[in-house]
Amino acid sequence: MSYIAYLIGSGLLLWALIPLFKKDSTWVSMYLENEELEDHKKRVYGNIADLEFDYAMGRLSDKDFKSVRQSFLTEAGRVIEKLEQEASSELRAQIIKDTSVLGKKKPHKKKKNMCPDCGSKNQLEAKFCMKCGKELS
Amino acid sequence: MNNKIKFIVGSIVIVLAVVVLAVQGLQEDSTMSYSKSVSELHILGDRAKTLSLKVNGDLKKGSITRNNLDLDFVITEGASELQIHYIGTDPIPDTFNNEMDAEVVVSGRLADNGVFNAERIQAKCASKYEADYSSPGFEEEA
Amino acid sequence: MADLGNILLFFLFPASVFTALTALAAGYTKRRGLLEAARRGAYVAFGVTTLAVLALEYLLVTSDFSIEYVASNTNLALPMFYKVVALWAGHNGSLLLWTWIVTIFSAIVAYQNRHKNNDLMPYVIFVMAATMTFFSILSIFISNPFDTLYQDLGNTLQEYAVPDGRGLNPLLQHPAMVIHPPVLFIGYVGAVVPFAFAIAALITGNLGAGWIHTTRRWALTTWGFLAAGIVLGGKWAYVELGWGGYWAWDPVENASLLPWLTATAYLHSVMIQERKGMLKVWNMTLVIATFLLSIFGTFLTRSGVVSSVHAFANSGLGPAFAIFLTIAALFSVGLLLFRAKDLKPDEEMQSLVSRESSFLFNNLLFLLATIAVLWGTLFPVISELFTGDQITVGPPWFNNIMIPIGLALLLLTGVGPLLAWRHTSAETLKRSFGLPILGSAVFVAILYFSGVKDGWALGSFAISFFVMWTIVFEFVKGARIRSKNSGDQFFKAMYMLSRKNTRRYGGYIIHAAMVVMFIGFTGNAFNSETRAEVGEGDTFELGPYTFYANHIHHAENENYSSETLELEIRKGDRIVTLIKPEKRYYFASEQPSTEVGIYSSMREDIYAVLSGMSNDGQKVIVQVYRNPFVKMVWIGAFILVFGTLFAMLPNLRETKSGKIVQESKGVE
Repeated sequence: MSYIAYLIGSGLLLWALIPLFKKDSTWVSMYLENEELEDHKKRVYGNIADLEFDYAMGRLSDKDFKSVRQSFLTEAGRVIEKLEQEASSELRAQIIKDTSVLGKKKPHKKKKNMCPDCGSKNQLEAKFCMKCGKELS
Repeated sequence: MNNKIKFIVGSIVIVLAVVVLAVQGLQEDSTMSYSKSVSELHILGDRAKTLSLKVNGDLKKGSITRNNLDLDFVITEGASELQIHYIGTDPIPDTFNNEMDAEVVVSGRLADNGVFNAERIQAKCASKYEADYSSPGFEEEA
Repeated sequence: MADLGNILLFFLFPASVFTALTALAAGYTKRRGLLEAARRGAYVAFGVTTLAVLALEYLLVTSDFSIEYVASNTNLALPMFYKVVALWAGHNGSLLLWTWIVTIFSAIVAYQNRHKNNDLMPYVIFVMAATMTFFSILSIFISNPFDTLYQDLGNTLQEYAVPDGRGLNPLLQHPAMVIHPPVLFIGYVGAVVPFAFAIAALITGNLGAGWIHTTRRWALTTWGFLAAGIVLGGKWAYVELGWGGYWAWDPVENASLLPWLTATAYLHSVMIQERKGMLKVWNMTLVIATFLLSIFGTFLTRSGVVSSVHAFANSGLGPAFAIFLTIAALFSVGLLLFRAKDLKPDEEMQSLVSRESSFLFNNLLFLLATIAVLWGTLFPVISELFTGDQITVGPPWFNNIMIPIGLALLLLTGVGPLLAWRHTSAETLKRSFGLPILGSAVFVAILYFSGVKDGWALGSFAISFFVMWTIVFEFVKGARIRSKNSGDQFFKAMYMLSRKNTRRYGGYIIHAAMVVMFIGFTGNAFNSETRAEVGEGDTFELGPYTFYANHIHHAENENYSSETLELEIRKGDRIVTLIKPEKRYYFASEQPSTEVGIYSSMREDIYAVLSGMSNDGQKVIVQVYRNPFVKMVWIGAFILVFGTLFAMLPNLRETKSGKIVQESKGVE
């Protein structure tokens, strides 16, 4: 009877090992440069929501409500502006990167090795175009 | 800064209050009890009579006598013995009879005549959560 | 089958080590394959442990008495239900249950996060796998439930089987005791999840609030299950141990209370981090503390360090736990110190009269309570180290500290919601607090003139009234406002209001539950009791009640023999009810037990215990207690569970077109 247990146990462990032998990739770190800003934004929005709730429940005078709300809105504005700056600078960087690629051979399309001069397909490993002799990168 | 100081002061007040309660709790007589085994108790001698005690020992089989609401028995540790007289009102624990191998903890005070007046009894069956099956004696018990 | 179980359980060790190592490698290299392998490792650990548990169940159910655990905890005559739950009746089995739950939660967490949190997950899985590894070492190599019985024949050890087992400890043959361990263990093990995420956040430097959001429901689950487990333990003690109470500040009871205290503090202080970006280091500390205290709780129960009526006999696991706890503590604290500079607060506290400050005081009080209970529990150990005398402190010491702290905390639950964030003006204070305080004062005056003189009780009732008022006000006023705005009918408005912010209103429900429980606790100030020796036909009195010994009755079945007293409770001419305190003697385990007779009404419990027989065997000695408001504790606990479940529901949100939609994450 015990061999069944050995079978099951080993089988399961082998199953767990499989991903180690498959073709692999890495993931990109999801840590946002602006995670702190995002947290800040959530915080301010939460504060505003709480403030409006407290006001509705009669826990704040009109004066207090208006002035505190204004300061929150100002803060929120600042945070959003910073976020947009980050986003637009990221966008700018991305555009620069993309435009620098335009006009060049698109490297990720290397599945088929196309000659940029005559357009014929070549082997992946080929260094020179079979048809026109152009040096392939 | 002002508020931080206010908060710290407030916290210190609360902490002090709790410390006072803790210390005050220790002064009360019945709260602190010294745990001693039977032989340790005898070593204490007369000083034992001034303390609130928790004495642990093994129940001497056959020593339990009940007389209506009175309960007397003996606990032992090695060669040392202690006579117990139960003066509490709580029901006697169920593990407590002349047949059981029980470890007993009695809470109370030692009287002048050397008898221990127990207000509470805690009895633990020797192998409540752990069976001693690897010893040959088991078959007899089963 | 025992071999099968043993081997499958053994595979848990390589599985958990594999999981831990691949997870660590995945974190370092960021390779998806490694992370997937780590996840699978967690699933495999769950798989083999589940199979091992099933194997043990098979052995229990078929009464295989060649296995020590089966022989120690069951017998042939034991009802099938108890044979099944004997899985956690004894030390080895309950440790296996703990381990199993760790593997279950690890698998769930791995699965829940298979498409997200890639940066954190390697370390999350690592921490959970490390915990798993520790418990697997204990379960496999030290306290293995599959151990067989051996006979010492001088030269050799021979395996054998006994014809019948010792049976289940009669104290455990009770529904509350049956579910108490699993419920409590779920609470304990649940603490590993937020801890794992916190450690992952510290290691990766992802110190934003993301890990808090992901683990919010886990933290709530842990908290709720701990609370339920603690109350179940109290209920069991009340009904089975027969000393008339439900809490004795026993070391093992305290062990379960400690992580609950820090968890409660955490649930509150997390809101400050969310709203003010303060207390980041403190929140980390609380999560770490809750985890360490959970492990410590298990350690205390099993190691014999502090003696207790509950504790499993000294099982030799003490040193192993101590080592694990020390390593975990040093590692976590070290990490926290390393990252402390990145956990600076975003804002400062601006006013003492603000919601922040009430939360801060709330946390301070919980911290003090935790320290006090820890100190009192470890006092015998500490005092022996320093004075040579082993000194125990009893319930009066604990109550002296915990009652004021508890009342202060209860007061804060009423005060906190009425204060605004940042600062509350004097005008608002007057408006919000005026009526409730007045109401409480009137209420207390009424009580006083009705005869309630005990200072603490009056204080407790005053605060209870105050808090309940503020909670009801929150619901009613909120519903009215919503009703006006949305046109919903009042009760529908109340429902929608709550469903749109389940954390807030679930929290209010839980606070209301605490008020109810506190009323129950306060009842202790008014307990009374009496004791009598009665034969059939005798009577005695307690308070307005007369007790009539109707019948004394002896019975026997294959499990036990019993002595029952049928006690009639009368008030004046009216017969209120009949209760039947009983004393049983279980044959297999040769142990007696007490069945308490309880008549429970909203106002009080009448609680009778047979303490013995008279010498001539004709009369029984019965102890009767009158315990006011005990039922409130159990009712409060139910409300608490309901509130916890409610708080876990996702929020409803109204879209611009007016449609009601469920949010995937309920946080607000």
